[in-house]
Amino acid sequence: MRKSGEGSHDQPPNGPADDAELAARAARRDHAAWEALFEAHYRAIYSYLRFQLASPDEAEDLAAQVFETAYAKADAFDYRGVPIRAWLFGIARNLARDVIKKRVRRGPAEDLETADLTGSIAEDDPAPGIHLRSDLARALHYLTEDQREVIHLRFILDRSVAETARLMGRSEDAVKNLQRRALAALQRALGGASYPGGGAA
Amino acid sequence: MTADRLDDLLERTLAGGAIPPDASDDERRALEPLLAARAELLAARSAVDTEAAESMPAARARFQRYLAAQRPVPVETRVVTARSSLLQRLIGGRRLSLAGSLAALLLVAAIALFATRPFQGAQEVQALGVDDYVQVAGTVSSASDTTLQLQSPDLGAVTVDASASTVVDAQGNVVGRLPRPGEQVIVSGTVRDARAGRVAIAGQALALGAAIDIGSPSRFERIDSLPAAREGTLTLIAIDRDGRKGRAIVLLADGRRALVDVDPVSLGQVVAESGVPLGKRVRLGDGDGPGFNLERVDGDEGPGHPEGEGRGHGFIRLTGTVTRVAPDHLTLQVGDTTVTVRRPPGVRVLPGESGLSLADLRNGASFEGYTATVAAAIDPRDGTAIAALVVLGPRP
Repeated sequence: MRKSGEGSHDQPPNGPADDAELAARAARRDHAAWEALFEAHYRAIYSYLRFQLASPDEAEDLAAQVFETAYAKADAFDYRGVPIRAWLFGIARNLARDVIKKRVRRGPAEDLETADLTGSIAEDDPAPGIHLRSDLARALHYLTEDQREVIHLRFILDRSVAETARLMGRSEDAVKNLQRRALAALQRALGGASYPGGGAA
Repeated sequence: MTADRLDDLLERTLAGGAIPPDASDDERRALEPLLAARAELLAARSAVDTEAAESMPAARARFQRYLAAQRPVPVETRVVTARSSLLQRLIGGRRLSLAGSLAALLLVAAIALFATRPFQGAQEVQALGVDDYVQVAGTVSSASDTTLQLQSPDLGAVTVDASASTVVDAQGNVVGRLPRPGEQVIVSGTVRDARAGRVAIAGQALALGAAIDIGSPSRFERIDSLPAAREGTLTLIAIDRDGRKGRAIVLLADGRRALVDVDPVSLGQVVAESGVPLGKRVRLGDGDGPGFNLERVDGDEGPGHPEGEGRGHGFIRLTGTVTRVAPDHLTLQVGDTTVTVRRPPGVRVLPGESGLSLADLRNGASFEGYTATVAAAIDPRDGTAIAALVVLGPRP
């Protein structure tokens, strides 16, 4: 696990000052600023959605929607030190929730194998496919939404505890506790050795 | 062993890469499964990283188009949104026939090419997109073993990745060499990069001797209402990755190079009637839906356009029912004839009017039993058709 500030999916602007300046330009719908935001945050947003939705097509589509939605709401964004990334993740979270709700309403037709993190790709399709283990895909779906989110932020997007806490609107202690419970739940769902209960919250 | 203590140990373990030495045996036993779970996640992460990076060009192009669409539209230009399923309607549902017509393919390509210029400004952003299927004509300015530099009147400098095995002559026969500087070609392929000065196409088929007059290099302008000069020469076609949006560039009689969204039905008719659409004379009209109605001007080809029913620019078009699909080829029943079509890596299979989605195809859905139109070149060594594009239609 990299520590906070080390390389990760996206490369945010250099510090709060740049972030504030970029936010101001973005609020004015400066297209260059939005292109910079896209370059800086797309991959992280995609990865987040990929694990939420488990479909590469949906993840790509929704990741693009995140930036379109953000642009449309640019004048409503009040920077005040809140990282733009947190705002974008908030939009991504809401969009993903909407998709998941629609799935639930449609019924359980889509099983987790096909819904899917296995991401099967036509054999003639040169597009790269992600071939996550289907058991991992299933296991992730046994987690609560908060558990999945902390897993994504901490272990997929490599966010620090402090940043994860900011993004999730929780305290750092709560994030530490949540990540432990999430890993334990994941391990149980994967069929691994049962987690010794000591201290489990 | 309290929750806070475990939380602290876990965080120190994650940060340091090893379980701290002050952990007790019980605490170690509690931490080890957690680390195992994390290992599963890290193993998946690299795959997600790769996938995210590879999806970025298409998403970037989409966002660029979105941004461009938000710009105020100049008074003298207007924007028309293309209807969906252009490519599908272009090619799908045709009667079985073996005829040389790259029209559908060319039309599709032209639309895609227009649609893929994300980083050159508002117009380009709306014209080009990564992963669009495109057909474009131009003159080779330089060539290496695997790459061409093409000067397109519509797009300027274009890099084309190509293989000698995909280059055909005017008769559709594979010539086994890349085009040389000075030669004119029509490229059928997929847009890989649409940024300013970096337009790149993965060429799936290149036709030599495409001596069509598509005008001198000039900047196109996007048009959303009928111009006074409604007729012109089709110079480029393109279609987006889902085969739902098409665009064309038309060199109008008044000299303007116009980028237009086109009605898919009318575009299909132009393709069906004229075979290879690049270089064809067309007329723009009001469409029933978004996009212009595109109509061929009978008997009035653009200068240099090859005549001949069903053939042009070295490509042929096969329309029939898919009876077998294999990784490297498919079998098409064309009337009473069974045709084997080779499928080089990367050749697009678009869902067209089949009712299948792109996701279905990616997930391995079979399209056996569906009609399909294949734009193809011919390998003279064995007469095999080599697909450049496959567009599915409904079941017969």
